[in-house]
Amino acid sequence: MFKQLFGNRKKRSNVFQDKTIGSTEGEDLVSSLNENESRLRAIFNGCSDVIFRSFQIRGQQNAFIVYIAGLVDEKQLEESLLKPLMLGDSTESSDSNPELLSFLRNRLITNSQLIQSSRFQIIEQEILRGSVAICIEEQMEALLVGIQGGNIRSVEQPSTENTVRGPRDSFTEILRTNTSLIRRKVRSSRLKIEMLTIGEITQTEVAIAYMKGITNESTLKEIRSRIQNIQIDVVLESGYIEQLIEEKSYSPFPQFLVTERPDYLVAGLLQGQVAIIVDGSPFAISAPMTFWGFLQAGEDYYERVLYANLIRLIRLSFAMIALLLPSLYVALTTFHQQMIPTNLLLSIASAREGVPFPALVEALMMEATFEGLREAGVRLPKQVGQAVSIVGGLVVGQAAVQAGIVSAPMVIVVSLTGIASFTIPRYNFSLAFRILRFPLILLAGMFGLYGISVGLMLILVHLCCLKSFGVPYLFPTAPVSLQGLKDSLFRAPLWTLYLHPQPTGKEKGSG
Amino acid sequence: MNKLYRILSLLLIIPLLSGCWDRVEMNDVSFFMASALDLTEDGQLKTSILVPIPVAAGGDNGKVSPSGTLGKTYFVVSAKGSNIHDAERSIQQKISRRFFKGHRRVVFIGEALARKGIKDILDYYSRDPGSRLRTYIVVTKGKEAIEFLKNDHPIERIPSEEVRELERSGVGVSATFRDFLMMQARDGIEPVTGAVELVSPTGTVKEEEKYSLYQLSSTAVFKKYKLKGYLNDIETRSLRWIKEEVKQEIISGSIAGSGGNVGVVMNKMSSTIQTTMNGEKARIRIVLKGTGVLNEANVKLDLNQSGSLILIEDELGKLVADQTLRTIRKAQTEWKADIFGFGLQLHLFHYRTWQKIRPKWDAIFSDADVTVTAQISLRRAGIITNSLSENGVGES
Amino acid sequence: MINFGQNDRISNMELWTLMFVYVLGSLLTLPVGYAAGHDSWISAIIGTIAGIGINWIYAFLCAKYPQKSLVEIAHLLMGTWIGKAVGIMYFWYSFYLGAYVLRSFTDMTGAVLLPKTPTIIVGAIMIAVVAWTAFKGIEVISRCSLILFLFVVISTLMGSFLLIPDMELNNLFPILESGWSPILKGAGQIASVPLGETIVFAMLIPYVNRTAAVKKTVVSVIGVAGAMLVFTHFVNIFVLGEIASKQLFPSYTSVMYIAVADFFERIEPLVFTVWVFNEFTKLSVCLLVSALALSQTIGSRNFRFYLVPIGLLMLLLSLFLHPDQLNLMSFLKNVWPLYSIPFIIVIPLTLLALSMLKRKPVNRLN
Repeated sequence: MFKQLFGNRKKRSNVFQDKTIGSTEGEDLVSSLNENESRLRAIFNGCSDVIFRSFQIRGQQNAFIVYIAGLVDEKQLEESLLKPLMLGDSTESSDSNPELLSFLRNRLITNSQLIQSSRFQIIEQEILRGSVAICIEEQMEALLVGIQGGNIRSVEQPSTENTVRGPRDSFTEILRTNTSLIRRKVRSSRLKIEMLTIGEITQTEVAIAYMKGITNESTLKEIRSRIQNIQIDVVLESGYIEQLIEEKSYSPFPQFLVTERPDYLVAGLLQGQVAIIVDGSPFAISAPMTFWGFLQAGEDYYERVLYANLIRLIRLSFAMIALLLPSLYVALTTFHQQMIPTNLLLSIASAREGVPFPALVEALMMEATFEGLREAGVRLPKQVGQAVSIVGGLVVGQAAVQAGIVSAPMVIVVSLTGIASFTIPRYNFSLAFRILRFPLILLAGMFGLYGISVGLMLILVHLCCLKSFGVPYLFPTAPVSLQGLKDSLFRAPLWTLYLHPQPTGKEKGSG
Repeated sequence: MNKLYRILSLLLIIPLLSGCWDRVEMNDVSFFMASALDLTEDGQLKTSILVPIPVAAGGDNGKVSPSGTLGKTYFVVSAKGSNIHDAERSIQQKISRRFFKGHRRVVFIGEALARKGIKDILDYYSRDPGSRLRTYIVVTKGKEAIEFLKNDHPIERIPSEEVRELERSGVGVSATFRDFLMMQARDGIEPVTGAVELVSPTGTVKEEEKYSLYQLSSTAVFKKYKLKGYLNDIETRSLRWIKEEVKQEIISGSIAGSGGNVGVVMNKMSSTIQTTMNGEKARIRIVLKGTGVLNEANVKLDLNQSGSLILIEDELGKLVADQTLRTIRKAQTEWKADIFGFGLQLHLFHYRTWQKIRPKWDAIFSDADVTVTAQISLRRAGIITNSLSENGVGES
Repeated sequence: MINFGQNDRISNMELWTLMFVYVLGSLLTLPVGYAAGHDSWISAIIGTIAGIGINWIYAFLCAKYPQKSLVEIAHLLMGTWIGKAVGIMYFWYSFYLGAYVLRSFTDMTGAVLLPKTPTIIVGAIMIAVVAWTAFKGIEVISRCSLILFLFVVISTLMGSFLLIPDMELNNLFPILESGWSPILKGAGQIASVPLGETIVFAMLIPYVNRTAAVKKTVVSVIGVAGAMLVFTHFVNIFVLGEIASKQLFPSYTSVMYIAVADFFERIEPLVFTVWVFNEFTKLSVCLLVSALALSQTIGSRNFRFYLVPIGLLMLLLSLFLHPDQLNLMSFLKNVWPLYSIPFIIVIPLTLLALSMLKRKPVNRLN
């Protein structure tokens, strides 16, 4: 089933896969310290941030350490590594070479993260990840001590997803911080976090988190194998992973939850989703998601049930407004004038009197302008933010209406649509509505309400076909699941919901 | 295969690119707010339409409108033709903007035309999907219908809106096309519709007033699609009471034996009709019931005594019964038109009897034996007790 | 190409909503059953009872042969050649039905909504969407119907609810004014046109995951949809009275009469929009069934191959069927009920009789 559905993933070719440059594959350390050092220096040739430091272990063996400045906590390096190694009583140390390493490991080096390796490749990778490599004279293995540190962003308030009520922490760029934020919320050994490394060049760490026993095994297997099959050089953001493993790339509807809030992610995990967290990105993604899931926000569960349902209803209606209002306006004013109440019709007609553009063109133009303004609002530096809002609000809104270039009702429609699109809690989901608005306007301009209903039909059929990792996109409504309906458009009181209300992983019937 | 379908569906889109057949911009539409239909002297149909001038009508806080150069909020166009479409064709030649009939609410029908018959007009309005069935049909009493379109109204920007509001407010008989058609199609009832007059606002006979007001004063009685006559406002009240169309009504009349008159606001009004056939003779018994509040009492009665209210009730009941009986007599004798639906009562609930007398109903109705009783009960008498006396308040 | 057709499974609930939306598609366009004037609600009741009977025949048959469509059952019981003939007949029935649905759809659109848009454009857009949907298979159509069901029910009920102020209950009397013969005529129309057309579902029942409950599903959906029809008849009689039978689209005309608070008026384009969903569902089912019947008759496994050609032919046929709308309406009211008797009654009954005669376990293993 999965194979059939997702069989034709495209293999991506690696552009930068030149193994000859600085390749260390299959080479081991030698006993000569100098040779090892020159070998490592050759590997890191030109990397000015790689620091080599030679010393003697308690005045006896020659040794050196290698690390990358900024990735390592230098204070800790000095305190817990260099000090015990260099200072101290030499008599304690064992003379015999083979036992030196185990002595160091067992008695001297107090760090918790420590591995031992003889392969240049591993040493190189560990150094790049922020370990400190210790090479000692006549030792065929190096000690790799993890004392990652340096300046990183601390856990802050979420910047893109605001809530009135709910936790205030958000993910950062550091994978370990992110997994710890999740773990802090789910203190259960059933929460599993698997690690993978993706990206031929970037060697980005990717974590797959899921709840064992809640997540459907086949969904998990599918996601894992798809991630493992990714062949790409660069992974800078979780969006890369999302785009590489999603099913329908050309669907306007997203198939992954994207969030920077650990509580949303955990809520998803507890409903059987599989989360994917990428090092270097504060946005975690998780799947499978359904249509209704995208219309929910965490507050729906934090606030009391009546208000939560009211808000969900309002959100859905505004989502529909965001999708349909401009096209309805075009259809009504240019096709079905009888539907507009007479007085309203007369005021719209008088506002439109003298506007040079047809309503269809006006709608497209204003919508495009609005999208442009929004894009500008995202891009512009904070200092000039006010300028754009003045220009956008005053010039486009008021002046254009007064000059008779656009009609005032159209400005109202467009701004209402804009506001409505912000009520959709998931940004990537609101993008779908923003995209679909334009074809609907075109259809409305050509066939009126008939065009709109054809457009809605197409969207509906597409939604019915769409699946997110085997889960139908319209899940609790089509196909119907009575248990799922308790938490779809409306939410039943919390005490009637199970721990995991949406059995997202389970497939329906025998299909 | 998949690719083939994709290409095919793309090909299907191509003819759409030239689309927008039915699209019409609002600036290119002229909305009909009302129509007036008249009969010309040479037997043709004169159609007039009222089109609002958008900018002015929308209320653009005092700015000079670019398109409304006359300083008016509407204009009226008419043309003659052999039927409505013929006339509308000529009107379209005078207006560049496309017709839009979806907002027409009122159709004025000139008296002369109504007397000639409105069957063709009804056909047009029920056939055309653009027209509303919920359009009020109004007969213009005494004047040509076009005069009613051209009458500037002091409150409404669009004068015909005032007529629509009048019809909706329930002060007189109102009939939409649907109501008219339904009455026409049923056996045992003749259709009626409201008749509007143009009156001077202050009642002065001199024609120096700049404008006139509409008055929904009477009822136009139709029979076989032809206007037969009018009921005045008292008769209209009787008609509507019998048909239970009236919800609230003010009845005033002088009370014998009290030396004055009263005004009563009725708010629960119902009627019971009982039609029985005795051979070829119909017996119609009507009981009108009403509950009201005494709101004006210019009488020398002690209202604190229970007998006083009963006296007023009885006297008013007699008055109403008398008025109603006279109304029915008028319909019986003048037009032989059963506008009250007595026959319909038989038709609905005594179908066997009705089948026998159906063809002769007009004759049977015209010499039917009618009795009317009215039972009026007054619940309150306002918030004072006795009326003001010459000596002062509170004489009792 | 991904082959997900053969594994499609729909639940009984999906079948229920699909049939419901399908049946209610005729509500707005067809003035069926209004022959008896204000007595037409009696026609609707009798027609519904008859419709339940008609539908029970094939539901029973299909329940007896799970995983087999009507055409396949005919192959089993009547042998290959007669079976093929039956297959062709049902292909023709659903194909012709589709053409009629499309024609009445385009006619109505042209009459009330888009008078200047060429009929072929309206039809072609519809057929394009429908062919795409049918291509996705029965599962997608039935899932769509789950969502559309809500819209259909809400719009029908809202439309009726808003008409309450304009209803005149007296319009119902006198009962049985026009006598039984127009009532029975109307009942025949209702039994054969909206309720009998469901015979095409005999081709889709094999896709239902629990065949045992199908009989109950079919009977209950016809009962409920029939009740909806009766309800609509009542509304139209209350609102339009005698003139209901004169209307070409009675339901549409009543909806046109809605006015709430002087503001919410002329909402019939909205109702029309919902009705487009109905017609879309109906056409998808017709197209899918005709492709299925054809492919099963000629032994092809890939019904999708036939969708586009059949769809285009449907479009062509719908254009040339009748010279004008009145002609079409009178055909639907007078000829269609007779025409459909062999398809909805004779053949299913024959098959049922044959299946009673033959011993059944033989077929189970095929």
